[in-house]
Amino acid sequence: MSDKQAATPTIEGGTPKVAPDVVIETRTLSKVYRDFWGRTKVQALKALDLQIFRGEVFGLLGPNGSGKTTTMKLLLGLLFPTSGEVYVFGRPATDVSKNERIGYLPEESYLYRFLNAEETLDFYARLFNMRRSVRRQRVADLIEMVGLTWAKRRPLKEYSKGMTRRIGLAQALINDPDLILLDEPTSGLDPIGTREMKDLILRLREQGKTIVMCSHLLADVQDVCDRIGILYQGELKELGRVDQLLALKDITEIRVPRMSPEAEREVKGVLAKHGLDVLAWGNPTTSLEDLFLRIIRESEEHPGLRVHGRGDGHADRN
Amino acid sequence: MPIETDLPEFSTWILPALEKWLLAGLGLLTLCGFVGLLWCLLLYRNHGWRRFFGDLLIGGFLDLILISGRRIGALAWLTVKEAIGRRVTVVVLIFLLGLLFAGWFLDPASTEPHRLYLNFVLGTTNYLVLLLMVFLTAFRLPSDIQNKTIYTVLTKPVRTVEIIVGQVLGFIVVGSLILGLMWLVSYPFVVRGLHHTHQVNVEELRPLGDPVKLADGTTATALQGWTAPTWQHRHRFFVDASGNPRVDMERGHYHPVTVTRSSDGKVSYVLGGPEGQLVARVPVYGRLSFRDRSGLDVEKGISVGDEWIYRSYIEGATEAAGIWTFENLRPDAFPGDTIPVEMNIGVFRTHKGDIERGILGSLLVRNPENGLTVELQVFESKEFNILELQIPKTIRKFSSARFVQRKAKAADGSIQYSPAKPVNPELLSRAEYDLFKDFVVNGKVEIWLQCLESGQYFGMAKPDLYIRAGSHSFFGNLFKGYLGIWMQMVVLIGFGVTLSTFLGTPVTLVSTLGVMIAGMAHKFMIQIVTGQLYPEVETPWRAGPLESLIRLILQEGVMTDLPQTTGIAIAQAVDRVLLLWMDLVAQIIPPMERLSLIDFVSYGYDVSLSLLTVNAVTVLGYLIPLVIVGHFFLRSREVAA
Repeated sequence: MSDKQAATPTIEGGTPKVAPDVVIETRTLSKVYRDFWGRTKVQALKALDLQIFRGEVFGLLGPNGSGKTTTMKLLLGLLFPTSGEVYVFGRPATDVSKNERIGYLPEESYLYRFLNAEETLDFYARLFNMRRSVRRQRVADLIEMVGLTWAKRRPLKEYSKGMTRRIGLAQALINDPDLILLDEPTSGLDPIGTREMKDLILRLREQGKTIVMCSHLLADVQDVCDRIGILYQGELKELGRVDQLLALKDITEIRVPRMSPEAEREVKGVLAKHGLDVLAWGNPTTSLEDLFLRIIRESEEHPGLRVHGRGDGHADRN
Repeated sequence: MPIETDLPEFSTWILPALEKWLLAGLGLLTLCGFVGLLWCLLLYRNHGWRRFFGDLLIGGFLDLILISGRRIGALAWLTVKEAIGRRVTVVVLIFLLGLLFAGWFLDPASTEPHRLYLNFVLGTTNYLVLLLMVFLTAFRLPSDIQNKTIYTVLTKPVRTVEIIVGQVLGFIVVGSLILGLMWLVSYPFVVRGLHHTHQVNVEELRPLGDPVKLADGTTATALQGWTAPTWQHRHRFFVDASGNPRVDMERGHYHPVTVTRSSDGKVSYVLGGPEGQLVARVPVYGRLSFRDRSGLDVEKGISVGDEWIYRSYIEGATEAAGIWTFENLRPDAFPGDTIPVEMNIGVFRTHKGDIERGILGSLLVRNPENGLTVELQVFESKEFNILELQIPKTIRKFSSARFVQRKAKAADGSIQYSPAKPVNPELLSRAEYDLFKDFVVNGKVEIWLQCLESGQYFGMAKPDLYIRAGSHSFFGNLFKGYLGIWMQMVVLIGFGVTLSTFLGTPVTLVSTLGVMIAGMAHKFMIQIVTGQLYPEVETPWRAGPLESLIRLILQEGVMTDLPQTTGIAIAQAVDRVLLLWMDLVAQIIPPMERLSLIDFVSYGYDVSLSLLTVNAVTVLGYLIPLVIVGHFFLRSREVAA
């Protein structure tokens, strides 16, 4: 990625250009919210310089009010910059034609609740000027992909939050976009849905799509993102590859399967001999998500399996 | 007459209207551009110039070119779906319920029941549909922005102009469906509501005049009498000597009569349903000029003081006349033996006399080229009554034939005569004239009206006398009446959608409602801002709201001069600015009352294609700038702010 990071924008003949593999670029992008009289209410974003490259999954992190959503809306052209520039596919974000290649899943799935799933997707497909035959096929494929075939004729107002989220995702993919912007993509989803969403993001990356997501759920970001940017009070505080940013370079971790007590004693002896303190020694834990998914999988394989409490706070499964 | 101003002819109307429209558009564009630039500079400071010229102006105009029919179709479809989801069909149900209970309140025994029924049906439809559109448009876009559903639309390759056009089209489809349903339901409602008949008792018919010898050698006497009363009216009933029955017109209708004979030879008369009230007369209007009491051609008649300025008056028992010049008259346009002329002449009496009796007038036909004139008929004109006269194609009955010269004052003060030479005396002594050969020259003929009674006056305006060139279908004319409502609806939709691009729901609601009400009182507004509210006042009184308030407080009438104090001078100065503003608003407000064609339908006049075209172009003239302004407003708006 380092070569990509080195890519710099050029200006030819007064028209701003960005490097070919740069999908999104912001240059000292700032956003000030003003009141009716033009007085500053809040400076939501301060001189953001950012490049997002083709084929990567980029995560925008930050606490509430840090400027994540503002950045997303500026990228989409739903807000206009107070100063600075923002380019998507080399075009200004206010250029509507850039949307031909963009898919957007908002935080809440802002959809028309009086439409059913088929009508919803058909409507958005028509906004992309798709022909009827193409639309039909695309709508059917996406409904199947998000697992809502059984509910495709039900109006969205009857959908659960998870179902709405899935149809929201389908509308974001209706045009087979090159760039997908996901605002809190796992919000409102159960662990299975969350896992499916993350798997989908990884699949989309494999297809060469660029994905930008912002999320509060750090574990989700860690699971899928190649790079992250951390915003705080409108300023970019950190930017880089997830594995590099999270690596603790002065601590070494060794993982060994089935270590015998003798081997353990010897290893500890060697460490002591070199004057190294053992900070932690034990068995690593799995994540709660993995545990949950394993139990669900086992339950599906063995429907009669259930838990009996032992009275000591633990349980036997049989 | 339903329209008491000159009806615009499309061919003469379009060019001045287009010129005015372009000027207004240019002015609006400049104003919006200036305000937009200031707004951008205020919000985006140094970026303001680029934001205005690059994003807004150039991008906005490019968007206008790059619109897609499929996207517009999708957005229109969404609007229709949402409107249906909002239960717009309830309006149709309210209308149907209104019709069900209308029978309780609509009095078929009134003087003009057909007008009552038609005004009710069309008036109810008008208000229901317009109010519905006010509410629908006020909620559509603001709720999209509030619910943030607009995010998923604007992040697609959708131009804001497509959103505006899509919404306008969607609402038009909804309104058209509702109006279409109402039109289909209202026709049978009116026809059935007005249906009635009368009995005729043969025993009560009385002989009229002396017995007449018939062709077969027998003699018979004409009969007359009255039909039995129904709905508080009855008709005079005649049977001529040959046995042909006829029913007189009463309350705007008559009844066809069928004669039946029983086996024992007894005759009975069966009257059918009412006819003649649900009609669509096709009037042919002429150009009106006047002749003063000394016989000189003048542009206008005289003013009789407090009477309505719209009509000009001619003095009775003088040479004064109202002269209608008709053009393009062709014999084949009138298949019958006569040419029907209908008129609605205003009467101004300087002495009351017998108020039940009308004022006598005279109808003359004149050849505009050689001056040959025959006095055809003396008639009695009553206030507010439509009079129907027939001009026979072969004129045998006339009271006089004479040569009449037109006299006009030239610029140098000399009198010019037309024609200069008198007509061939032989022409004056004929017993029979052919209307089209002797009076119509290249399709042109003059019809003169004169008042015959001294001290009385006839008032007239161009549409007060017309030649009736047949009738069109009432069903079709009712459709045109609904088309008038449709056009008002389209303009209101344009305003509602445009206002909703920068206002919230409550403000859009009130503003669109304001446009609707002001549009319905458009003429009044124009009269206020142009000072024409009191046309009889020589100098237009054009005080603004502050001066009006001062006059109210000081209890000063409009004719008195106010004391020239500093306070009043300031108030008048402020008024001048306010009047300018009011003038601008009055010009922007759509002339809804002019688009309404209800009076045409209820008075039984066919809505001409020319008028429909003028109205349709007017609607477009409003809709196009509204869509463009709405597009720029929405484009400049940060919907996610």
